[in-house]
Amino acid sequence: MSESELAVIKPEALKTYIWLQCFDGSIQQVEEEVAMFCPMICREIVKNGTGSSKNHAIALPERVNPASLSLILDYCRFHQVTGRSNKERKSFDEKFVRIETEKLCELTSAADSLQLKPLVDLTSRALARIIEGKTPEEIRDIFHLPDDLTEEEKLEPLKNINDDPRIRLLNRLYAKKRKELQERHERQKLKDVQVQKEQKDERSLDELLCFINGDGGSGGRATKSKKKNKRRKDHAKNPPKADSEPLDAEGAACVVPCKVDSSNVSRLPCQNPDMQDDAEYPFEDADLDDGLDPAMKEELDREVEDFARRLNSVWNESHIGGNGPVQRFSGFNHR
Amino acid sequence: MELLCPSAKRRRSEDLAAGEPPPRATEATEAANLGPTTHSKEPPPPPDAGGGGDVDRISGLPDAVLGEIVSLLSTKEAGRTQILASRWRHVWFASPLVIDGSDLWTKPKIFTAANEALASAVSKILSAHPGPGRRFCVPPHYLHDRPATVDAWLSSPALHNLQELDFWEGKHMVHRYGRPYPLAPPPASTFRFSATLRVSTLSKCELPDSSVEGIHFPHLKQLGLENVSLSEGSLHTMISSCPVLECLLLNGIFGVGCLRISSNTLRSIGVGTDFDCYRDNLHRDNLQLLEEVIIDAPCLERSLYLGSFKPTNFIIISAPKLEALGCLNNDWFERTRLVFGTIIIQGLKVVSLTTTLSSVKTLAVASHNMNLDTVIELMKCFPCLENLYIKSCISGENRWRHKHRDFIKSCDIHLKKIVLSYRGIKSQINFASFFLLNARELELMRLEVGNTNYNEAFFAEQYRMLQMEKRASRGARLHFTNKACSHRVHVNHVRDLSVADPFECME
Repeated sequence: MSESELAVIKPEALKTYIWLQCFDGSIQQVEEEVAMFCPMICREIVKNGTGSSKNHAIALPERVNPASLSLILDYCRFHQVTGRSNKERKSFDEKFVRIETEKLCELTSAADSLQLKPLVDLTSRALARIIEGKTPEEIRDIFHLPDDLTEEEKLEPLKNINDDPRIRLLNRLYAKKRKELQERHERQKLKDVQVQKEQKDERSLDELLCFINGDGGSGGRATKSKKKNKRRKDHAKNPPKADSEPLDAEGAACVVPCKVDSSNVSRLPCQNPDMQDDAEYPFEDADLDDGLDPAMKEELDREVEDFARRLNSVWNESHIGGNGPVQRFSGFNHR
Repeated sequence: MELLCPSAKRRRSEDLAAGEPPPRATEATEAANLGPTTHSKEPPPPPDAGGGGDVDRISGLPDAVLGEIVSLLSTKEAGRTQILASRWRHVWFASPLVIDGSDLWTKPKIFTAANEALASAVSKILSAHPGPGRRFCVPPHYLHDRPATVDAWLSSPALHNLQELDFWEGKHMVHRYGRPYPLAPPPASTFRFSATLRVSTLSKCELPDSSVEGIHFPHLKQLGLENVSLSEGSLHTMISSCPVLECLLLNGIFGVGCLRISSNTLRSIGVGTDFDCYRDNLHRDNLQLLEEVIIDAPCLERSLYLGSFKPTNFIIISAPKLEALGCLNNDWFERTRLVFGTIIIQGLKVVSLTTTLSSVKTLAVASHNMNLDTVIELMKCFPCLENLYIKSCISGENRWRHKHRDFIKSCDIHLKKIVLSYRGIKSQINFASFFLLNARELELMRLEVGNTNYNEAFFAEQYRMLQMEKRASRGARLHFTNKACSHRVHVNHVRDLSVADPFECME
């Protein structure tokens, strides 16, 4: 009889079982087709002929403990069935790795020693998800890692990425400016403010600026939002006439040639600076003299000034609200 | 500038001095490069944890596995694993290198400074890591701003055998120049990785015909071209140089009017032009947008339209496995015309229908005058439709009891999920109740409501107005959400083309 015929007519009773022995001596048997799903076991059966009886059980590597083995066999048993859809398999996998972190580590280790790559991939991803977003202390805690590095060793790699003196300087200036603006904003709130009549304009600052910067050709497109594919039923029908004057200064100021050496004509980005998550950014009140040459410092000052100007207008727009006054920021003295 | 991890280097040279070969780096390099996890030597036993049952079970994993885990982390976090414990100090060095510019993007968002910081961070990492490379992603404007630097980066040994190369912005680094800059061709070293690349995105550059001559990407499965200027011939050359291509994203390409694609492996295709691409390129001479796509792909599962500024034709010669289609559009500037066998759908109007498409299970539609009649006509084209996304507001009378009673009697509605934005006006009530009362397999109706309506009183009232007690499917749920989905198709990166349902809002 051919192999395929045999496969078809083989009833339950004739199923072949393979014997596996863990390092601790415990032996168990498992259906052949399930065991064959593991490359390492498969090789043992085919090459060395072991596993066919209790006395000749396949010796599994040390890293495969009985608990992990049982999980691995469940995995194999599910996935070796051919008819399953991708959705089913994915769903099974997601549930499969929802186990204790310790067990997950052991499972990864066992799967690796049995060379079951799909399972190693699955468990590795799960472990990466656990690690992602956690501080080193938290990671050490979860995995019970020994804290055996010196303080110096811990600082080395981190310093290298964040250690840009310009960034530090800018951070300080930025934080300082923001504080000043915040204080001004507070003072303004307390005063009696003249309410200007202002058209409710829903377009983002960016669109208006870009319109002014000469994209008149895009006509109706300018009323589209900057965000990708965002569609609005209520396009701001009003042409930007009313706002163009006060914003002219903005628009012009935005196109500031900054760098002298490289070829780009850059300007500050047309986007709302993200206020909230800068609060925790550390800045030391150390001396500002980092050994930067005056020309670079001047350039940075100019950048921060422009930035602060935009910061101010955006702050007004988004915080005072559409019905409030749009205070023009005139003059900025940071020296 | 400081050197990276001097002590690690010291240790390695100590190893060499002691006469041992530098074991882990090369071993892991080779192990990581090959497909299957060739199992590694038994690792050192886990360090003695000391007290209790808190045993460190992860450090015992072999370097190759730990390296794999580290390569799945974000760039910053991957680098940070060096400080976890002594066992982990060199894991990052031994793992395939992932440099994702969007991970390293530092504050403040003063552009030039942040740019400099990112560039210098990338240089530092590349000079420290021995390779191989897994993924490298930097903003596309670097191709124009600092091409020599990019060339040096791509030639670095740290990126040896790179698998994923993206010149891509990501939403964190979006940068719009005041004046559009001329598109530069990518450096020749970009094509250095042809033999190993699996995923690649090129943005904001120009691909002259000469640069694509003779290229071959034997393993490239996902290709994205965003805001790229190239000729029709070059595009076809590129696509045919990818024998295993599965996902193709063409977002804002210029210079190609008609794309003909014939592929046995293609599973998912997304085309469109987003507003920013369009605006940034208005000055170009050859502003030829993609207007026609002719597809012959027996394995195609998803055909996605991301919106544009010219009507776009989709002519599908063969796609028997097509499951997801959309977003079909009726707005004049981005109207779609779909020709699939004998079916012709102009905008959302079914112009011709002889044989239906029973493979299509997911459909997204948008129109300024979305009404029930239109949707029912579409459902006749796709009788096995299970997921329906209405990506614009519903209007019209939508009376159906009399008008569509034949349809209700003769056709089974297999819809399982419907998503629409909802205000509670009469036309929407009529629309929604049609499905609630007639779709016997309905599982979920998701109503996207505004914040003012996002309250229990409103929900209760709608439950009543929509006659939920008389629903045709007992298992149907009414789900209200205040998260308005602003994207019609959730595709930002070519990787997103492999998601089964790209219209579902994941946030």
